[in-house]
Amino acid sequence: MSQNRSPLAQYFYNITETISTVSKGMAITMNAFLKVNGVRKVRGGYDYGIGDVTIQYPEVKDNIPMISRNRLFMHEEGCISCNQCAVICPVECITIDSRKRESHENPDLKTPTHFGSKPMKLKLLKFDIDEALCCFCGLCTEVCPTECLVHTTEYEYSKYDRDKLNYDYLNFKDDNPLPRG
Amino acid sequence: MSLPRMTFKPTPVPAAPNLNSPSAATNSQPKTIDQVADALKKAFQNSSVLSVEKSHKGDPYVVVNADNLFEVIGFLRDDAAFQCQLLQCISATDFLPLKAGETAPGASTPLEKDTDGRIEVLYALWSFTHRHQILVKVCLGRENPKIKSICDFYRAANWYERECWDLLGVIFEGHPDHQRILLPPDWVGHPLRKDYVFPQEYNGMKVPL
Amino acid sequence: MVQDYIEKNDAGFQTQDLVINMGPQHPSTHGVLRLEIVSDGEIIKAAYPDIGYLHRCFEKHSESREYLQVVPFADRMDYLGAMNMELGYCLTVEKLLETEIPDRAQHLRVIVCELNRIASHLLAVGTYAIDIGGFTPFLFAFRDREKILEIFEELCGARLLYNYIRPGGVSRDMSRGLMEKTAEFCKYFKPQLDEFDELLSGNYIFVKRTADVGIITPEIAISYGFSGPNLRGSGINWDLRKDRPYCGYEKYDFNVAIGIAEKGQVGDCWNRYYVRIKEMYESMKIIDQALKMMTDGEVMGKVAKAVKPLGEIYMATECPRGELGYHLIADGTKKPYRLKAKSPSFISIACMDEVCSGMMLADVVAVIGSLDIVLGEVDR
Repeated sequence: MSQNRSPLAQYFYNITETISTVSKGMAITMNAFLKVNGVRKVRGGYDYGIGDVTIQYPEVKDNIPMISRNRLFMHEEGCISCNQCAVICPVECITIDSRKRESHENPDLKTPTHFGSKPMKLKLLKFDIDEALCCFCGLCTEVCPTECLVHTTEYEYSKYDRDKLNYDYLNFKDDNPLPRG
Repeated sequence: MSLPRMTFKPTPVPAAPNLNSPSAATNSQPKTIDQVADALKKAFQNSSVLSVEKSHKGDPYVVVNADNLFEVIGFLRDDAAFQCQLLQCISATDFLPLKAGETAPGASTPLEKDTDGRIEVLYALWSFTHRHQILVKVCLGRENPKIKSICDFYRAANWYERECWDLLGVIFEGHPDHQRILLPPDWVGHPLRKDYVFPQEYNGMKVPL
Repeated sequence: MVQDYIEKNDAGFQTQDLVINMGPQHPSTHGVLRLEIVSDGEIIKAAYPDIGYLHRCFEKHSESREYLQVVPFADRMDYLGAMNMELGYCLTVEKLLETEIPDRAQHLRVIVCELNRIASHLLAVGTYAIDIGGFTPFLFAFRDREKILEIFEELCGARLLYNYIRPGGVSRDMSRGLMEKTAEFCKYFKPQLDEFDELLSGNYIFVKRTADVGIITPEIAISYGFSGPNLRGSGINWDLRKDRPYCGYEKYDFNVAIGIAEKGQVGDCWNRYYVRIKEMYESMKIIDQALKMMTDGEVMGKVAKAVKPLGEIYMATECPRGELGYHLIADGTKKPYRLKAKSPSFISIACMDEVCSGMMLADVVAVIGSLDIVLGEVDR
């Protein structure tokens, strides 16, 4: 929006406009610095000091909700080898191999009650999830009929080698602490 | 010094519609697909309109002769009854020829009407003044799909047509900058074709499986 | 003046155009965008955008995935406004299925899409400020955006790529506590947005760098197929939520933010930026109304897990960057025959050559930031 000012008046107007708008912005910043403005309460109610919006990760970690979709975990005793998770996975990162239970291998076995007490007709031979391919969409956990495949809240599991991210859940050996939940 | 390449055609653009006036909503007269087809048949005495498809679920569209497409798009943009100022999308699809005894999946869709392979290019046009959407389709052969570019009418057509060339191999005659856009310039093949075979290696790099 | 001197004195200067790469790795190009700039010193003669560095073959993948499995892929195109991408796709599929979506699902969809719009605009204006050189507004914007991402994490488990809106409804319900938290967020955010506005929009340095720069007239904007805040910044009153309503938007009362040149000219970078600020106010209004109008009920309609639509449709919705269109050809099987996504950022970059010729190199950064592109959406 141009106005009819002489060049001299425009020169001084520029200076006063600059000083007033920039100092308004600086006042906001200074206020945030001096005032107790929004003490950051991490979920769970833990108080991390005065005036800080950020937390000092990795010494201090945020609490994330239980439905957060991070690394997968499969409870072996609950799997009935229905293959639903492998079929629905959009990136095909789940590999399952199973065969029918022989008569000497307890064919009437059922999953524990907290996994729905479903009959386990098939013996699970291989259950691999390649977490490097996994896109954390949660579709596999939604279709699992016994809910033995769950998302945990574990997000710090980086490895130096991409092959080490291919988890074999029948021989689960991980140097990270046990998954929470 | 002249520029290395000229990527757009500086053709004149029509004036912008005034949508702020209170009569903008009441003055709009959206046209149905049949009215579009009738107007096109009247304006172009030759057989420009091949068919009007509205028996399927979804949006109806009009199939136009590939030789008349350039004039048809110009007519739809400039005629006062249609005034399609916005080119929303140019989307191309590949249909393989059906083998003997095979029917296309689905029922009562245009998919099963043609047994030769074809490439269909859909032009989606929108009018701000009349608030109607007009879908125009062209059917081209699979071996040498050629059509005249509409970069003269819409600047947006430039990149949409480059994408159709890149992914499907449709040649647009008169395009100022006819080259690949998403894939590297030395890529071989057009990936969105249904008979495309993924290469096992590219420039010496193997595809990891 | 230099030209006159050369012509007068026949000094015979030999100049050469400089071809520089504003390369794929650049902090201000908002992704992997390569601009080949042909410049005469500081003045640009041509800027050729070169895209394709983030091409992940969304359209080819979606031809071999079921309709439910395409939703995570659709998120990942515009990863900053993922809910809107999913909403566009699910509305396209539902129009062919002709199912009835429950009311509660529609209200939830509107709430999450508007929250995502606020988050996306906050990132757009925050990174725009940091591209221009002001480091403070960036953290102010991200502090507020963090609250939205926490709400999303409690709702569906993910912060950025949600997989929440499915064909038929939404996947999980929003608890009463979370609805109160969202209402509280809107109350908290309004004064923060006023403060952000005061911090950045009137700042003389910011105005000098963005006003009257990169002017796109309404005619050129329409010819290039612009939509959304880029088109509204040029003065055209067009919003798909008002003019072609979907998902129950006709029930809400909100205004359409247009660039009216409080500073600078209509169609310049400052107006495109300010339209985004005004849109955030409108989004908060919509969220408040949706929370009040929320009814109880199911959140997922009666659709099979593996849907089988039939037909052909082109459906457009309003995502934070413009008009997002999906062209779906469905042949009655479990997988789409052809799914084409028309993304608004693809066509926003196309204008770089025409808009950038004649301006200085530093203004290119201002133009790219004001167009608010996301390269995931450009390359799909």
